[in-house]
Amino acid sequence: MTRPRAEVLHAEALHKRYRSDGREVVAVGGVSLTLEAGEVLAFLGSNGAGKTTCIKMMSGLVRPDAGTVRVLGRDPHQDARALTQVGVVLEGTRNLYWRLTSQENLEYFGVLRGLSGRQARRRATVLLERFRLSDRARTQAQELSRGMQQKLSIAVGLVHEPRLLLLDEPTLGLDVEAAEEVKVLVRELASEGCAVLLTTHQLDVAQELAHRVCILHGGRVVAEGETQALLARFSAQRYVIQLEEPPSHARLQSLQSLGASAQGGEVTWPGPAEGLYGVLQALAPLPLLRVERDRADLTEVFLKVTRPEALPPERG
Amino acid sequence: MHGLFLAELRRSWALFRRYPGEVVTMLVSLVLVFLMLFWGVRYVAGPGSGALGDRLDGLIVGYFLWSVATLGLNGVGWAVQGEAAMGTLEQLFLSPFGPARVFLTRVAADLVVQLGVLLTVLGSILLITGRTLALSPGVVPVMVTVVLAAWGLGFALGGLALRLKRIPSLLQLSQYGLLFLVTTPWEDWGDTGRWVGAVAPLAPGAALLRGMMARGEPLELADFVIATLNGLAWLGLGLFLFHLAERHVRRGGGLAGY
Repeated sequence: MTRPRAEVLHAEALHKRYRSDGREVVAVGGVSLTLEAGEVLAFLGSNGAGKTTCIKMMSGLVRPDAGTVRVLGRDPHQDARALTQVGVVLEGTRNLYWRLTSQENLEYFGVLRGLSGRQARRRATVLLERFRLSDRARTQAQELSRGMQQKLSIAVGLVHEPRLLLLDEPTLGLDVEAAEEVKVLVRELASEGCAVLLTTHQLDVAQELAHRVCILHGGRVVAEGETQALLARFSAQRYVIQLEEPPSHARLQSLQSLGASAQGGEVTWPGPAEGLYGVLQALAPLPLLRVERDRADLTEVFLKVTRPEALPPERG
Repeated sequence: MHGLFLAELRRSWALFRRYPGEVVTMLVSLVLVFLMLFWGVRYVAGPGSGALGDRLDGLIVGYFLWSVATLGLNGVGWAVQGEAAMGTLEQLFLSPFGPARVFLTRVAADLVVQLGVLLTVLGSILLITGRTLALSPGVVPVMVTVVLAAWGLGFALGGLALRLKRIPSLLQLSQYGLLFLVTTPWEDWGDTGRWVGAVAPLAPGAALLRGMMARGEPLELADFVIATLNGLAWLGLGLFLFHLAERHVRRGGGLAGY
């Protein structure tokens, strides 16, 4: 996976406090992150972790109490030109005019984002075709299926060809087919050089799409890094060998002497790769179904850094 | 800005022609409400009220102005609340034009698109009541001063809607306030009335139009200057209040959660 290096988003030490019921609540307490062209960053966190506030600070909708945001070197809170480089698709169906058709929505929002009428019309045609909505160009947004509405929302977010796309829960509430289509679109956009910041509660989607992951908890970044590296870091040093049938009593004793354990046809070796070969020799010539290293998924990583008490103690 | 106006014009026209039922309902209710007002005034005044003719013509002018001004008021006040409820308000705040310019362009486009309906209402009223009004090209710039002040009030209410989220009662009440402002004959109430009539939003333009359209008076330059300053001042004040509210919600993160 090769990635260009141009920095599209740079957020530094973002802070935001709100007053709620007479108390001051820290929504975001010093979040910094960067995003490069062609990169998908999954921005994860529980409800109230501060994700949406961060997205709104990065897009210029909410002014940070402290910290800076730069989109291609421009501050979206000071320089309106920065907004021409940002596409924002907010959660749910908050991005479209229900009574306008797909084509009308795209053309209207195109001009609203700074395109000329002609450019907006041309982009509308291109995007309708790309998102396979050409046959729904004259259908009002309220009459589209939920999946089509979401695709149209993303198209509206892209109408002015932004270099940065902020996607808030893009697959929420979609059926399997529509969610797959959205995932393909996100991959394509990244491969074309668009930087995508994705917030989602669907951690499998994040794991599938994101080059990097940033986990927010209580308004602070608690884990951040390349997705694969993060998964590796949180994976246990453990191998699982699946046998066709359970080992004999003698083999079991031999395995136990090496430090491995077995349950039914599954043998577990809780040590480094070098020791694995000794275990395999002890099992030879029994037929093997699979040998794999135990690997954490993003859900485990997420729970480990946000709610360690939620995981069984033996995991890592 | 020109492109934005055309886009708003297309948006407004698309919504207008898509729901002809709403247009007809608006037209019929505007005419009916006026007729009730008109016949009510005639009944209360009783037969033989010689000076009532001018007053009735003034009422027609005031009512037409009220319809135009209400469109401007709703174009921002109700629109902020409606967009917030729909969820599209944040998208307007993400525009490099900024929300104030978007709403200003939108109310102008709405006025162009709906002017036909409002003129039809005026024509129907004149036809049914048998009254006539003096129309001259000078009426147009004076009407613009009234519209500017109405937009200013709309922005002030829009700002309030941004901060308080839901103000439907105030928005409804403000329409009656508008009716009072454009139909009250401040010019007949002595020096104090004239002074209030010069400062109150929409009032100097409305008084000028009553004189021109109902009594056939010529356009006085001094009065027109006052009406223009009044319109610009109220628009400026409204935009300033809207800007303050916008800054407040951007700082407080209060754009969502309606």
